[in-house]
Amino acid sequence: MLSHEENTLFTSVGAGTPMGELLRRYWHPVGVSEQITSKPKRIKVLNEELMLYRGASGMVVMTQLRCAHRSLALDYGRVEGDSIRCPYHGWLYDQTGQCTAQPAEPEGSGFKEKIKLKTYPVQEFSGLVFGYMGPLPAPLLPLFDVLRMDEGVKAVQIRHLNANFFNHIENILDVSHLAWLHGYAYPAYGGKKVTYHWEPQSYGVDNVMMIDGLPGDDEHISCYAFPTVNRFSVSPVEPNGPQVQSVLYRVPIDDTETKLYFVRFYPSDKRTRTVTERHDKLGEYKQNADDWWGIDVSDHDRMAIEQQGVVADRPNEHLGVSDGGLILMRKMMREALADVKAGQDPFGVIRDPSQQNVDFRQKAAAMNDRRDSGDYAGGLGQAAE
Amino acid sequence: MLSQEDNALFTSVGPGTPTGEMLRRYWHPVECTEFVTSKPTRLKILGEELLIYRGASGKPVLTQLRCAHRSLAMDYGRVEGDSIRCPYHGWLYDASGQCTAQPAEPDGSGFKEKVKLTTYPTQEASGLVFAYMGPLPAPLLPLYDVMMEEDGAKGVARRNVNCNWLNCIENIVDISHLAWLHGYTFPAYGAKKVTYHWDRKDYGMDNVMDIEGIDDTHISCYAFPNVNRFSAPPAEKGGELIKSMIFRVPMDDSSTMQFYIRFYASDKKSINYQRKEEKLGVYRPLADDWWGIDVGDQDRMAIEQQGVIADRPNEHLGVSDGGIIMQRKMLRESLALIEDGKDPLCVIRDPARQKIIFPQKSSMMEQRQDHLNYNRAFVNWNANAAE
Repeated sequence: MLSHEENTLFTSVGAGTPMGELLRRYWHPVGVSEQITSKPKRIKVLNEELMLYRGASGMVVMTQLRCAHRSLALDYGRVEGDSIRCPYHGWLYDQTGQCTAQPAEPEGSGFKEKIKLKTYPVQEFSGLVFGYMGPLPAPLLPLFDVLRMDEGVKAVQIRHLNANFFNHIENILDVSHLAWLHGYAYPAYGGKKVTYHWEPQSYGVDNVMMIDGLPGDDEHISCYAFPTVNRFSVSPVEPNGPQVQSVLYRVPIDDTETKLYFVRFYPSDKRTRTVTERHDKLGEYKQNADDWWGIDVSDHDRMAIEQQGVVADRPNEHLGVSDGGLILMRKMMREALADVKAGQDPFGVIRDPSQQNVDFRQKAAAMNDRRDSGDYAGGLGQAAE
Repeated sequence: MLSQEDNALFTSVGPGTPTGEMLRRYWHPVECTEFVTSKPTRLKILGEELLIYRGASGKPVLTQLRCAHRSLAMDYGRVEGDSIRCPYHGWLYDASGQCTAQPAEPDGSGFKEKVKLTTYPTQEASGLVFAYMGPLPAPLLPLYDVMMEEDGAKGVARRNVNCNWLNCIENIVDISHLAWLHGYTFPAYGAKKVTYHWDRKDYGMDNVMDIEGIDDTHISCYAFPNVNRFSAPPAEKGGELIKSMIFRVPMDDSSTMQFYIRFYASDKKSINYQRKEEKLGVYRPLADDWWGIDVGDQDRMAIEQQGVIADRPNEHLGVSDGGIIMQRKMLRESLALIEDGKDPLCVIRDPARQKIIFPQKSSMMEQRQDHLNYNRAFVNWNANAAE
């Protein structure tokens, strides 16, 4: 159970809020390389209205959405070199956000020198565009193992969740839902007796499940990378093929919506990459008549997270022994908030290049037996052809 | 830069707000003549839910939307003579809003005498129904020059935009946007060096542009508080400029109706009506345009892209924004006049001042990039005349 105050503390992500400031200490995906072009794209991250575009030099620029003159959103603006021109009165801003032209102002005016847009550092890796919105110098981008996998098929899916990010983070550590919410799709643990524990790691937490009667190894492991990422293995695209290696980032749009960047990798002779985007509607879930809950496995988690309410009602929750992961994660959050308040780097911020590559333990034999639902492997299946 | 408080002051238009009370001192168009019939239709004006219908006598009646009994919206009601009957329990209201029948009440009951809907005076001119929602007696309806034009083709239209009224108004006096936002369409000033000034007038102000390479100045006009008057390119090449005006009428704090009147002289006398519902964030594309948007949607893109209410506490106004600063000064003067119990700026009570003629100089409008959408929009708006 959380107090109302702490529920607000954990779920408010705007600039100046404690959680907002904590999340600003990490790099977050804000786009996919293929989608960032010389046509500016409007985004919202951590409750800030922003824009991304690719300049003539190839660099990606991330800037405040609105022109400093009369607050026009610049997504209909024109990219000139690495600069962006506002369509309303032609003000021009370079890639640092500095205003360099105000065509209607008198010649010799020094007004433009006083105008600068807020911009944020950006880098691209593995086809994702990452942005950093915290105090400088920025830390290193953690290079998770899935991002570094190249020899095969990679699928990036962007999804939109109609709930606060914290609902989703708790769902990572809440592994006892697997045997029920996903029980139909995975007979190896569906409705089975499972015991759980959680092991702290340098990157976060390993979720460990011991599944009754699982053939061979009965241990199942998925990983949480603090503060907003998880790493897990999913069923092979073809029977007896390799499992699909997955990493899933959550990025708060604002206090009520969340963007997901889901990267899946499948070793293959075919070196391809697909990018898909889904914008799902609150309360509408893909149907599957056979499923225990009538919902396709690809929408199970979204249904659960959204059905908790936009911000879950934690003051009225009742947590048990099998919810130990959530309690551990909240403890880590409190410690990280205290570190930021004390002027220190919070947990999981990497500044030592020898720590930049992050590898995860994965054990997921239970995933090999899956009841097929076409949609689940779909994005990757098409790429694998 | 405005404070948060001033931004809220200028953009809140509901009953009882200072700007809402100020705007209620003027006549505003509320619907096109052709669309007011014996079928009641719902309107929202200055944050008030209203209903308009045309009674048997031909007079438009503008009344509160909801029946006084159990708050039913009466747009499914029935017009009887000049009265409207509520579909729920049959209460009947005459053109003054007085309740004249309550069929379920006992005979001889005096209850209905105590019940009256709020109604507002209306009058029709130039294809528009105007209403007055302020304290009585109402002032005179200003007769702007385009409204008085008769001998030719007239297009009258109603179009909603998805932002606060002040975004629209500032765009009238913000003329330095012309050289950029509309730069592709009008090569005579597109990206040219232009100098600007603004002249206070008894009707509001004139926007004056001096454009590099053109001898003539360019003048468009702002009639306080919410009207502009300008000249648009001819419907056919070599034809005369179209005399145009736009009224902006707040529906509420986040949406605005724009009423257009366009006129050009023609042997065929006609009037053509149109109604358009625009969607936020959807603008008609035009690949050749500098910003990829057809000129007919450029202004709407700009005023909607400022945010529903522009973020004025974070704006940065320069010398070329003098018109906006002057317009805000006029708003402050008007609000102060009302506080002193006087008529605000540009309210007309003297019949000798009722007709308003605007100066117009816009020779560069004749040089217009000839692209089909723009032409077609004008031809459609004047379909009867152009044939």
